[in-house]
Amino acid sequence: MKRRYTIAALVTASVALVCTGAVGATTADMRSASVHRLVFGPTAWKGSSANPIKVGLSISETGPFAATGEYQLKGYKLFVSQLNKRGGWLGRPVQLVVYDDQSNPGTAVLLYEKLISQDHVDLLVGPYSSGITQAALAVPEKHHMVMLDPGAAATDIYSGVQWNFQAIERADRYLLPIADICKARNWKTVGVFVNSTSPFTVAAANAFKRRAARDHLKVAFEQRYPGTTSDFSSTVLGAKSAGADCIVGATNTPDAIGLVREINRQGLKPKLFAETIGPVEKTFLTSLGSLVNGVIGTTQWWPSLRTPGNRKFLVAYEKAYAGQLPDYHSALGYSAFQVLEAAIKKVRSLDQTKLRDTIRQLRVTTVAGIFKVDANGLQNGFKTYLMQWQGRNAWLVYPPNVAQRKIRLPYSR
Amino acid sequence: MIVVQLTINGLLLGGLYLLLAQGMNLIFGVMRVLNLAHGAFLVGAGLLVFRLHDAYGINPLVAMLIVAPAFFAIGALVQRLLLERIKAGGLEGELLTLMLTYGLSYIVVNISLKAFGAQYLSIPYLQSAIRIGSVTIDESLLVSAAVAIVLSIGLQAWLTSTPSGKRLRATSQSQIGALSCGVDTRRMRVLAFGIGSALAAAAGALLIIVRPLDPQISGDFTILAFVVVALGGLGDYVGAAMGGAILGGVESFGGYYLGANVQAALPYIVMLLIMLLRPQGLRPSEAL
Repeated sequence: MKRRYTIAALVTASVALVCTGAVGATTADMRSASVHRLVFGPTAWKGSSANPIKVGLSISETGPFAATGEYQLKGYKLFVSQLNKRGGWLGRPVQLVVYDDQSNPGTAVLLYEKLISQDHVDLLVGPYSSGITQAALAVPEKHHMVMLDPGAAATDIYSGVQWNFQAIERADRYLLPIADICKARNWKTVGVFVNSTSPFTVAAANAFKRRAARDHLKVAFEQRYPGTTSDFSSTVLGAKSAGADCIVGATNTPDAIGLVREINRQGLKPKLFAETIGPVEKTFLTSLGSLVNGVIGTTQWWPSLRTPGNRKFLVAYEKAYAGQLPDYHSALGYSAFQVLEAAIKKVRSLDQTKLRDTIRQLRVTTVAGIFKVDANGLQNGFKTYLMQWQGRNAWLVYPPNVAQRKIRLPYSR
Repeated sequence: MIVVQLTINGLLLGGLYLLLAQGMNLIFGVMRVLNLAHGAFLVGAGLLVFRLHDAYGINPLVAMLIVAPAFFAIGALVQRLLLERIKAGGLEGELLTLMLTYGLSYIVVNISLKAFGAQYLSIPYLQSAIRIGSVTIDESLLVSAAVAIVLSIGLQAWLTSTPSGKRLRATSQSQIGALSCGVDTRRMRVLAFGIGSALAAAAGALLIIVRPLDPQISGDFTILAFVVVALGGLGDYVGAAMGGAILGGVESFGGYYLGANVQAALPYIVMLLIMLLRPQGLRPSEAL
């Protein structure tokens, strides 16, 4: 019996190690992250002694956000590659210093500290995801360095910040076009699934509920689940008994896939079904097949948008990445550099205080639309668009003035 | 009717959990080795099935028949080349095997990350449901659970009714006793680790048609398998079946009545309760 207890204790300790290894930022993480340092761009300018301008960032190259992080990083890299071909900034080439934050907020904090204190980077751009940015943004705030954040849509994380600027549409506006559609069609009830782990999804869901209340739409159910959920049977069963005309999911990609599958299995028949993150991702189609049809997703950019430079961006991206199409994270990564460039051209130096004050006033046209921020650094220019899967193809369907196809409803027909 | 629905969901989930745990149970039963790479094997195999389906259009259930033997070979090699080299006995030996399989889990997870990327993948297969009145039965879960239960029964039948199965059980009861009766215990241990790994691979192949898998959630499945095994009693196969059904039921009912946030914590709560109240499992302690 004593032996059994000993085994039980050993097992518990080991299982705990497995868990902490998956979620905790440790010195070992930091060491392994350091090994993954990637320098992108020339180390010296051809025929010149000019030192490169170093732009530092951490991005999720591994971990749950790796697929999306890769898109954002490719957007960054494409801009830097084009920039260096046309002369760089201030007569100096630009070099990216990239670390893998392993989708871990704690690791990202350590990496931004390292970028500033040890690598002495000149400029910073943000990591991917609201949760990681929420942790990391304190570092540039402490060091008084400007950071553009194209991966952080949550709004409450910018409270009191001075040096960070949101370079993506605000989370609290993601689902508002859906509320507008519900109102226009005179529907009465809505239901909400919320990934309760992410500040982004919580902000998107809360704003949707506020708008629903304003428009006299009754929230028939709100089902919250942690981001690690993979079995949605009980969650969807709870929603099924409540019923709703329109169902939205404030989701990340894994739960977006799980919810679509379970909704179809259990035969829920809303008139409209929309999700935040997930539907635009490549894995959505490969994981769901024909079940994608009818699902609406939010996006901040689309290949067909006639924003200045968008066509060139699309062609260059496909050429640079062997025919791969960008998604909106790539476009926003690229846009963040367009904003930095506009600010540097205006200031004509890398003075962080001048850059900060300039970005606050800037109105820049990027491939993803107009960038401008309010007094708190929150985005006030970019817009949310809606895409829908129709016949296993994704089309832009909202707003009508840029739509490629008409929105197809009801979802459950 | 909700209770019927939740019971069906729980039992089907339990069937899948049973297979998920069988491999870990077999390895522990024979060698007293807790394979912390179990979840990594399971997810790696599931993703390999995804690749076979995605790239070559192979039916996931057929792909399972390819992947499971491959993992049998991998498991047998791990036992023969790594675990067999640990000569220390007693507590020191147990600790060393735990550390070895823990390290192995990191290697397998990182190989999976390199091979399949860090993203959730799932196979769009059997995505509809059977409807009986207001009760719906998820086709993929039904088929997966049925295959899992058949495999588990097959394993039990092999262990109790065939000479090789009996030799394996003899090895699990007493290595010295089996050795003195002429059983090649080293071969039995290699066989056990191979079969355990193949069972983990089969569970992964079935899981990926039910839920999305990502290499980095491998640890979750190791814990789930351990909870099921601990519920039934380490090395007790009938107990593991009970454990699977109980855990499936607890998750199904807990998720509905207490919410998904609590559902996520339930396996860990169950594990803590077992550790505190019945570390020997729910059934009276029995050998294999």
